[in-house]
Amino acid sequence: MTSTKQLEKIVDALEDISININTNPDLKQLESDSHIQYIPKNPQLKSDSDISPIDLKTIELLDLIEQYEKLVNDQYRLNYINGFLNLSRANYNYTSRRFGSNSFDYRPYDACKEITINDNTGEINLINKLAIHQSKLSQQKKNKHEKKENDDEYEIIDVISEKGISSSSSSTKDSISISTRSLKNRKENLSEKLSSTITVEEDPLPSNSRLQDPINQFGGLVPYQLRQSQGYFNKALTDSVDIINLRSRINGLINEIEKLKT
Amino acid sequence: MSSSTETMSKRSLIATIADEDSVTGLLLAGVGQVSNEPGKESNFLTVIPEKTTVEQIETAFDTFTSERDDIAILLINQHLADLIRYKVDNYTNAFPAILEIPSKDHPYDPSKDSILKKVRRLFGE
Repeated sequence: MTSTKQLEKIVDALEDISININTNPDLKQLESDSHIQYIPKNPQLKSDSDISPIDLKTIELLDLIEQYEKLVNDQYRLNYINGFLNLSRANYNYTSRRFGSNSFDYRPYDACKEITINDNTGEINLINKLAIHQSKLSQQKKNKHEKKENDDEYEIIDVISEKGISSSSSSTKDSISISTRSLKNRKENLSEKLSSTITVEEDPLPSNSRLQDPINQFGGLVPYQLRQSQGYFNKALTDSVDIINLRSRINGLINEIEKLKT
Repeated sequence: MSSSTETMSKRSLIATIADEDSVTGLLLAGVGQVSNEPGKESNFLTVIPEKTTVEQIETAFDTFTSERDDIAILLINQHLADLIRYKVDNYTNAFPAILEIPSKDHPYDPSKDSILKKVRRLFGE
């Protein structure tokens, strides 16, 4: 009987369990009776529904601050440092010229990196227009290459069919004419298919596009340190956009907490 | 499409007010744009010590934040922002968003970070 009673008490107490120091004297007595160590929930700890809105927002704010500090103190800071370091190395190795304002291209060109703003959340996204442009160009080239291959196949078919007709005897002419007709039909079918696929493709990109790799303004052959510097500054720019998004969220939360305090 | 959405969609460029190395690096990253359109010739200002005045920096700041409608972000070196601190601190618009970036001679200093100062003020420090 005592054991069942103890078990019932244990089951009741084990409804809420967390890893905390036991300070309840009743629970201590139960622990000593049953020789089973259990850790009941800290009675001072509130459930989620009991946490005030200010506390919830403060917890969210602390999470965001942690993310922000981690970002700015680690990769953001280091990407800029490494970008400047490699740029200095490039300038040091090329003493005859400096990669600076004297080399900037002031002829009209478009920005390779642009921003889009989400209307609902206000979040900022960075778009690499140059990468999109280059992928479209490579896809166009691939399609042209495939089309050229198919055209070559047609020519081969034409040559074979012509040779076949000229060299055959009269008895086989009918069979060959049938086969050439079928080849022609196949060609027509294929050409129809290709024309349909071509119409689905996007319009060809203008050849005089103002999107260019910005490293080209410093010359055709640039030192590898300058390319490394470009890589680090690309990452630093991405980090900068992430920081702006985090800052706007932190600002928003701070304003909400200050409103709730008043 | 509402007018505010149209305004937001126009804002797509990243402007820069920084020293020579910072501008070089950011141009390498692809933020630069040059055009023949009056008032929008370029979206970057290269600050050269003892050549570029504080007034020129102020003018560029006003141009990128108030006059132009195609700038979404303004990147400015922290030490240059200190020269026009009153303008930067009094700027309250959401866009273009202003971010103070480190330079070669002035790396990132968390004690000067405005958002962390605001957080410390909130927690009563």
